[in-house]
Amino acid sequence: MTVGKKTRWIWPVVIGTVVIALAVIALNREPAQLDPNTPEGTVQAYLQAIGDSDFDAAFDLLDPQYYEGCDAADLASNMGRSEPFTAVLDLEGIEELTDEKTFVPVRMQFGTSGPFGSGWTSWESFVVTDYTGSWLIAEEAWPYFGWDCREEGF
Amino acid sequence: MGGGIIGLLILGGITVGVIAAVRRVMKKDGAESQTGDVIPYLLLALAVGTAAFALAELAEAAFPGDAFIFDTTTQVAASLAALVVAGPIAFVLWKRQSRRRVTNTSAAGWIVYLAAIEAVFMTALAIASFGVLNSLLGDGSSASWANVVVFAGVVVFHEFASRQTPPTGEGSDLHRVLGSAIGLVMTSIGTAGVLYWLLDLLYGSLTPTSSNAEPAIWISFLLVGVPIWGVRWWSSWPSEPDISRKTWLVVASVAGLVTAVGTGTSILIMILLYLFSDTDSAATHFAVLPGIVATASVAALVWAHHKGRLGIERNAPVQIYGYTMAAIGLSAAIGGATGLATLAFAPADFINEPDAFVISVATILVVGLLVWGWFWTRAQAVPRELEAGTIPRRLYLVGFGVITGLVAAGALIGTLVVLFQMLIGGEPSDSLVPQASLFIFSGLATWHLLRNNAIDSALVESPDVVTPFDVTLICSHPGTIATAFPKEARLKVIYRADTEGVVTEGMEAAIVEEVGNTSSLVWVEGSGYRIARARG
Repeated sequence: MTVGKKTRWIWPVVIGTVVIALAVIALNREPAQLDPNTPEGTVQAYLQAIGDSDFDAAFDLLDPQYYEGCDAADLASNMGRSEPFTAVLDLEGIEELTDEKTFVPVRMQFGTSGPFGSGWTSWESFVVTDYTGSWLIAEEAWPYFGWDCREEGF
Repeated sequence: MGGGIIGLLILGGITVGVIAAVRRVMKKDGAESQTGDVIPYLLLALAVGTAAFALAELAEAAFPGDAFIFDTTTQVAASLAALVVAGPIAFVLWKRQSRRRVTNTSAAGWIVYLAAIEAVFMTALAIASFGVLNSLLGDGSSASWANVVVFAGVVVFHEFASRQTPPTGEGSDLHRVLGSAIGLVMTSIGTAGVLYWLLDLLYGSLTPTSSNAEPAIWISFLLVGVPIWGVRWWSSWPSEPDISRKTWLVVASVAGLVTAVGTGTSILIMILLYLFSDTDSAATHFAVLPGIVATASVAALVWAHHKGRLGIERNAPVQIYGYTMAAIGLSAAIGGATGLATLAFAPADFINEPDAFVISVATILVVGLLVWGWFWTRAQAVPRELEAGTIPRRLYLVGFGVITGLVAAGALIGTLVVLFQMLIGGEPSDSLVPQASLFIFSGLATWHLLRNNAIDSALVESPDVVTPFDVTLICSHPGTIATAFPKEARLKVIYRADTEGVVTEGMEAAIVEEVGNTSSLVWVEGSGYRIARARG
């Protein structure tokens, strides 16, 4: 193989190596686990459970008073065949509304981005309430299924 | 582990297969392209775009920033699939076009390709960089820096390639012009924002109102825009402006001036409203002033910079700039006049807050007329015979005349609908006065434009076409009359036997005029001449 032919293949080999390295890193990366005894940790656990299609675990993190009349099956049926999503916590936007209530904003990216992807972004907000030591998601929250089952109605 | 190796083998096999297939197809197409290689370059742009965005997606999956929930499997799968197909195609096509470019730098495809890459990836780089900076400096949501690295890599790679084999010929500035536009837009937004922030601080110190504007987002715009604009616009240009740079100078000059005049007009309206109508306190009324002044200032700077480079010599770009501004001014005047007429003749309750309305539309009318008058007067100052046949003037008079004519026709239809409704017993509609006013003023504008076009046309029309004709001249001596006739004349001289019928110098012009390029018989005698029209 001549020098010219060798240099010709340097860039494809470098790019190929980078691609494989990125794929390996991406597939082995885990999100940082927040403390589940905090408002943002509660939101993370809730979204992670939905992402894993563990709707029982997700429903357990919802305010039972607000969602009286609903169950995990209602949550699951409203999710349907949802696109995989990425969620980014808006740290600057977290706000303590009262001693018991905290506002947690999250940016959610669905599907794949880029010009050939079919992704979209939405900004969701969660109001997390302290119930004697354990935090639960109160009020209407993504994926907004309470209208379908709550005893008090929407 | 075993699954991973099989996956890699599959990826490698597909990659090698795609490379072999693309090479085989390209070898058959070895001849020099007659269309400037546009199609191979467009395919290359598509392949590079797909591969680069897939790489960015993969990089974002590997380094997801502050994401606290993510599922990378879909991202990785989609990215690898796109890379395995688009990557080899991009590689083979790039190699092929690099070889061909050495001998043909003026290929239109290279110019189009660089422009497409600049438009897509410089925009992507600017947006990604802005996101990262804004999340670092301000309260913007966090963004992944991985995209910045990938898009910057694509831009830098193509920058080096374009320096190695610079595009030449008409349109070769196109990619730099597009980059300049992206940089200028971001720089202008950032500058206006920072200026707004400073003016708002000043306004807040003088009055009890303040919007608590934050500078971080505007500084992010500046930090992204200034380097792009600097590299693309301020580094030396290899040649005289080509059509793309001239077009950009016109676009930026018009956009800058329209924004400056528009915002200046809104300031004037705001002042007049404060003086002549019931408004809130001065502090509240003028609370938006910092934003408007900042926008007007930056727009004026953009206009001054680009108009200065456009020059003052009345060439085609300057004419396009002038006639575009005249059209915009005339449009504003039509709108203002229609508004005023509506206020004057429509029912009293048709317009809420008539004081504010009259001040606004009257100001728009005056400013529109001033803008139109300024640019139309400058066009009129040029000798008409020089200006009349130019394409920008024709486009303005005919093209804009057709537009105003269509508006007038639409308004006339609207007016007649209302009138017919009233005639057959319907309720009179409030839209009658605005429709009729719009018809009158846009009709007047159409008449003005098309009338000027008719005058221009008469001035530049080619002289009457003269068809060949026969002249039989019976004389003693024809003198030099043959040179006085047009070349289409076929002159036949029959000599008289005497010396009575000589064509004198004073007689020549009169005979030629009286013949009038028609076949004639001319009899010259001592007392003068007689002309008879020839038959047939």
